[in-house]
Amino acid sequence: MASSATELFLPPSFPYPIKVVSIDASSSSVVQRGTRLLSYSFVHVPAQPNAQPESRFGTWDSAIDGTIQAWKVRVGDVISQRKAKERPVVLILEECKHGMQISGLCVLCGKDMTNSDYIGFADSSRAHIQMTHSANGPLVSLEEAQRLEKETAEDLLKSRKLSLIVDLDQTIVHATVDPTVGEWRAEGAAWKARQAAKKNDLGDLNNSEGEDECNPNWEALEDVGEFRLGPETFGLPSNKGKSKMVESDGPVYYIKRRPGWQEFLEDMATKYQMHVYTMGTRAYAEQVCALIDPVGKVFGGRLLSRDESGSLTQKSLQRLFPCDTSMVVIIDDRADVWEWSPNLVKVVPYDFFVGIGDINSAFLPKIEPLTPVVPPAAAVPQASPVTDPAMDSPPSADPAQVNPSLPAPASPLEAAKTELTEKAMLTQNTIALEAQVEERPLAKKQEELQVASADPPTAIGSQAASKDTKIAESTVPAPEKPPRKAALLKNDDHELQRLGKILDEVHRRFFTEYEARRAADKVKPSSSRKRRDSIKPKPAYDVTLIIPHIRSEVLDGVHILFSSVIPLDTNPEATEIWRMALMFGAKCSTELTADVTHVVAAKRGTVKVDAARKRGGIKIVWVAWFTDCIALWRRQDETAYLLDDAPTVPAADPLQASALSDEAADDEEWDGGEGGGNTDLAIAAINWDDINDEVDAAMNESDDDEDARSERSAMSEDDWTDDASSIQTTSGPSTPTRLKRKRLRSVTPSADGTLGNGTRDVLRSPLAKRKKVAAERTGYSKLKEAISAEDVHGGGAGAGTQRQGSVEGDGDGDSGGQAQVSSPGSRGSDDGTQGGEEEEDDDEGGGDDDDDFLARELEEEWG
Amino acid sequence: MFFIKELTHTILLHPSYFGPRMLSFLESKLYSDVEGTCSGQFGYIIAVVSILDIGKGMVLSGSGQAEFITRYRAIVFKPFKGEVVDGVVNNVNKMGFFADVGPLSVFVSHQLIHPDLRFDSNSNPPSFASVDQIIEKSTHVRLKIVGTRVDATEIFAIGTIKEDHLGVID
Repeated sequence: MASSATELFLPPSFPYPIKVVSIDASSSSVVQRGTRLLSYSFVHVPAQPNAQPESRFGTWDSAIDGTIQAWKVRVGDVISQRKAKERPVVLILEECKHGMQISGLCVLCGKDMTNSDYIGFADSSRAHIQMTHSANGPLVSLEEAQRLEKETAEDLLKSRKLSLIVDLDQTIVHATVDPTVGEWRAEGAAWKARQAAKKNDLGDLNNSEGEDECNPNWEALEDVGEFRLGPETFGLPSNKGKSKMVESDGPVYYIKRRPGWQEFLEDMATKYQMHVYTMGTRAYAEQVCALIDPVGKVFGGRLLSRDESGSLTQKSLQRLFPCDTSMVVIIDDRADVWEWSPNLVKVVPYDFFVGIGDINSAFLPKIEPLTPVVPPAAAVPQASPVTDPAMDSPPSADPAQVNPSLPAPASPLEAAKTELTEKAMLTQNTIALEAQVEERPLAKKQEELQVASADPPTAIGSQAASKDTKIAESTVPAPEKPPRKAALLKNDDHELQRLGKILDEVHRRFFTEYEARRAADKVKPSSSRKRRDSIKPKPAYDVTLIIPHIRSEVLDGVHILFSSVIPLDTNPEATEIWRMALMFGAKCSTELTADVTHVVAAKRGTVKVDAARKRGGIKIVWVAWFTDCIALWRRQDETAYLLDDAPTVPAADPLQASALSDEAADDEEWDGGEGGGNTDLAIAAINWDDINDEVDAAMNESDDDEDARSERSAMSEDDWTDDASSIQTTSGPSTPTRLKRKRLRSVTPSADGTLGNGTRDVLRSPLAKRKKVAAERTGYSKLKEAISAEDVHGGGAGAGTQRQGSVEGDGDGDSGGQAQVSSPGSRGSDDGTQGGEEEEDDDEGGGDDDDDFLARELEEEWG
Repeated sequence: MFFIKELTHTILLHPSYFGPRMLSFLESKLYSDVEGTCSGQFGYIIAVVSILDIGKGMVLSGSGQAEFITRYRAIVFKPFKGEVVDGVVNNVNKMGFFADVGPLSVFVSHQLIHPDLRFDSNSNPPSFASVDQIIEKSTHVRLKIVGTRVDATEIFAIGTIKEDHLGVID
């Protein structure tokens, strides 16, 4: 087995610099462990004060057996610490390098490796890499690992496969221990049995047809697999799941396989060699594998669980592929545990049992969503269903969310090191599981859902009737309730199809490049396999290049400006979202530059959004667009995510009033303004269509903070001077606009916060159309006209009107105190209005507004 | 290799067992205590052949328990380097396979498998296969032990099938 000589280095513990005094084993002599190789001298300074430095001597003995091939030092050489580290001293040809060991034995020569003696070098340290999936498999040395990997790679290339590491939880399956599932399943099974029985005796079909209703979730739950871990009892498994027996048995695990799993696994198995790498325990992983791969032909025992992983917080590609990761693809729902490995294809987590999360990684730092909005809820911002505010709320609202009190995120790495904390983590996981069993989050969710879906009839039908149904639902799952109950658990996941496409693409690209390279190699007459292998530095076919490349094509050519997405006090380049954007091929900037193509905003009316809107040609989208793009690895159509600028829902939704605290505070102000009898009267007197048109036009043109601010000031003035504003309302052509906008604004804060209602969705399309028409008709001119009219009236504000056209116009000059604080970005349009009407009541409004505005500005930037 | 060996075992008996059926209890206790265990010194104790002397019970002052020093004869199995044994393959991975030789698990690395037998990762279950032979789970193999390591309570062994007359047996 002696392929090459072993290089021996001097141990770092020597008192360097040392001088070689004599070489005690000549070249080509046989040495054994303990044979003296060389003697050296060094200068020693005793610890006592004023002691003279003295020469001392030491010896160095061989730690291995073999034949000395060559010495690299000569007698008289002085060796420094650095030199000792860099250069071998002697080459020894070994009979066996002990490159693979198992439980303290060399598997090649059968020698005991656990020798510990004065030499201080245990042979067992020579092989330390664990490559097999099992925990007690052999350990190998680096050299051996490389050789093995090369073999594997060649095998895979020959069969045109890559390696695929598959995560289980939330990637292929979703698991829960919530006993509710068991009950629902029992219900469903009973229902099915009844149906079957009915079919058998046809006569009974009529009488019970209306009454027998199946659990709404049965359809999705039918193919859920279940098993029990823990202490095995051979007694009867009690179906009701309530008795004490069950508690002592450990919970039943319910495994929902992701829709399309069968095709996915079968398809991938032809292109990839599949491995399982999960954070679950070995027993759990084996059970799940038995469910998704009953014959064992997909994974074939290549299963790695947290028992073998060696870390509870990280997954390591090096654990299975210590040297060469160029042919490995990972699919996982969490990128952080892989430390954003380039081999990773991130999967949208499978969240079938709503709110359960990953039952096996409660000890992991909780994953932070990129945005305050969870993707599923934000996916279609304008069209989320009426039903479920409860479901849309981020998981943190869920009482059973598994790790509420985890301090880990600060130091997950350190924590992982101590066994104690690991134990704590595991207990925590257990506790979380127990909590899940006891709290039954699913049952709660379903109840919430029932209540929520019972709400619409409340609005339409009579109050009392719907209340009745509500009570009926919350107490007993009433089978006689006429409308079919909404299902909490749905079979609507298509992630695996999408994932399959990406993996196909990776596979295709890899082997196209591989074929190309091989063809090129064959052209060269003298080329051989060896040569290709030896040329390491240009791996054209490398998954770690292909995946980032595919990823970077997603947002290629997109130049993103984030608005109110990145907190002000952080370095934007360091934030997650920024890195993601770069990873997916987008460019980012902090300022609105000429080449910005997209503004990704978390809320309306920020300075950047307004500036971009004025510029035109820039797509202003919700953050959801960005998150969806990176989640789905495809550039999404922006139209569904556009940040529409004219929120025109007629009534404020009380549910959504709490969207943002500052705006909630503002709301009162608005309500006050709205409630003023005069204003209402004035509004009632106006032709609504005209107003709408004008408003839309105005909003289209400049919907920005300053605008809002000016209105706000006007609003607050209204409280003071109701008469004045109402008079204006009836007089000029400009003031209706202003007034209407004011009213609109009162709606805005709630409407752009969480956007959850269908009324809005219904209204959107005709409104948008009308908006368009209005824009065409008025040509954005009404406002200007109005201002010029006032301008004539107000005289002094003439400067403001002229500036209005220019985007960058700074309006500091004209409109009193408030102008000084504002940014020059987009003041243009409102300066006119402001200036014009501020004539009369500038003294009051100015100061008042100033405070308000400062607060807003601050809050906007922080929040 | 198997040996018949005289061994002793100390049994502590609680006073509640003192009575007419004490002897049979001691016997069954001995069987359950020693059979299937492994000591580094003697190897695996496969079975107790006969009890030579159940011992005189000495009641220990303080606890009231009786101490029986039992002498018995047992079949022990101790693997030696160079010994040829038969085993059943238990687990195959790319680096080799594990074979169960009675209670002992022996690892045979792929370097010590004839190069004709190559690891086939695509097969299910995983196997080492040549044109006419296959080693997979539950294949019977004859192997030679090349090294053992003895712990206080455990024995590890490495084997080879890369010699004449070793390998798959039918």
